[in-house]
Amino acid sequence: MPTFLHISDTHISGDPAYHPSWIPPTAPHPNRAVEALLEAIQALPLDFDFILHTGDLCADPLAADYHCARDLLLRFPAPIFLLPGNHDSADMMQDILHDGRHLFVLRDACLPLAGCQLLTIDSNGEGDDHAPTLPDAQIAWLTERLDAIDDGPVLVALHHPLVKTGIPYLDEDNRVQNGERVHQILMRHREKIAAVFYGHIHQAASTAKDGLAYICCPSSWSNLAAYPGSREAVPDLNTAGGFSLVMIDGGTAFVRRCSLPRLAK
Amino acid sequence: MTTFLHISDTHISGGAPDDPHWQADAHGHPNAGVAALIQAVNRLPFAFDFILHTGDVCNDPDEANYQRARELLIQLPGPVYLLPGNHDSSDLMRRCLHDGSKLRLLQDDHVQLGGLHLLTLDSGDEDSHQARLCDAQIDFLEAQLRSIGAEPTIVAMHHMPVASGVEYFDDKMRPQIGDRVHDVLKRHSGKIAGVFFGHVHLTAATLRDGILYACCPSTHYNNFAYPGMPERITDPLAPGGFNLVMIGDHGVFLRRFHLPMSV
Repeated sequence: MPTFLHISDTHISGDPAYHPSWIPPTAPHPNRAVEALLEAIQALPLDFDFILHTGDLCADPLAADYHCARDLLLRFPAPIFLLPGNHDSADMMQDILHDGRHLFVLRDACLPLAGCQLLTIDSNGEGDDHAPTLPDAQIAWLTERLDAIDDGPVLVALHHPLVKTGIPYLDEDNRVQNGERVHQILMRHREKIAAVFYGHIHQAASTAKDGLAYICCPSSWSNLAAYPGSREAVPDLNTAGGFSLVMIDGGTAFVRRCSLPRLAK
Repeated sequence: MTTFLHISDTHISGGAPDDPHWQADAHGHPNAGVAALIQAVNRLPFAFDFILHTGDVCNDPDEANYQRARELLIQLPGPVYLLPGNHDSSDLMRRCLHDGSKLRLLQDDHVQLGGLHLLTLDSGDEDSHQARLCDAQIDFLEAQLRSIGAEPTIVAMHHMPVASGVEYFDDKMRPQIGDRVHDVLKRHSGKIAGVFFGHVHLTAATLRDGILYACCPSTHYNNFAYPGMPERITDPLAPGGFNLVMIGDHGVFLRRFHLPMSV
């Protein structure tokens, strides 16, 4: 059975003092959280096929951050498929990380993997980096790729959320603005899509809509709260970093949330 | 929009905090998790329509446990819909908990909540600790679903109806008749917003044939889940918690909430 780990929003930094103002004072350095993630993954008593990272790999688009990321990621025990987030430079990821053996940087791509088709979208489209709009040409590419895939299961992955949650700050300020259009395209192929995987909003959340599941993986570092009516992102101080275990059986996706140890600053 | 909290597997005990049984238990006293839940839920900065408890309310079918459960559960904002689990006695739940207003026992039931239908199946059986789910209940589910037009419906039961891929849960902790529950739901998938269950003590979800099956964590202890897992193994890093569920035009949104870790 295809089995993989979904990780996201590691925000690796080459600066040992990195601690942005939007992160609670009690949060550890993001690289320590990646070390905790590595330890948890090394201790897992199961075989898995690959690791999917849905973006915000590094804190800033700086070569030093990506060199630091490379040192950390090469220690992980499986190939890692890396998507760019709004904090990333896809070009730097390609230059510094992609080696085609252990680290694979994917933008708009479709590849067979462990009996599935991994279809990735670089969601850093146009406009606001937290709430981008995907260009028409990219949507045309996606449509074409989905039409061309005869057999699923297809795993769709991107950094930003596509569909609404019902929570204002997520829907209005942190979502692909033309995500509903993408949803309509995905829906036409839902028989072959196992699930859609994303990150960006730093929490264990999911949306099911029209028979499609959209699964968000928490950050390994610092996570966010969301409530009905929330108009801004505030830290979720009860939740340590985490990741997801995903098992695909034909068109059925099973996702289990895994927690990392709580780290003090 | 309908908003509710999904809680499960509280395993409440009438035993005192220093009860030797619980002092010897690696997971501690289960009521500590319930106290953390009550505190967290009462501090939530938003309103919700109801709380759904998918069973194993008490650890053993014993009257003192249900008396204590009543004292605890009435501290939650209601209404609280309670399903029996395999550790429960539905008779004691009816006698000690059900008051028809704040705390409501649901077995094989159909409740209309505004524009949302809640269909519940009683899969508990305190005699054997095995799931009890029979053909008549599958027929009940089918008949109720037929009677509902196109209105959104959620289904709840204690046990996991569909296979997860984790063989131990699928073979040892799941009623095999659950596949027939899925067959019925599949025929009505257009109106099924989600299926909510507990029992396996996990934060996990399965999407099968377009139907979302969501398990919420226990407040007491939680398990690992992985392919080839040989037995039930608890994950010391998985804290107690609950799920927020929002159902509306956007679809179904689920978000996990952790309770503070007691160290």
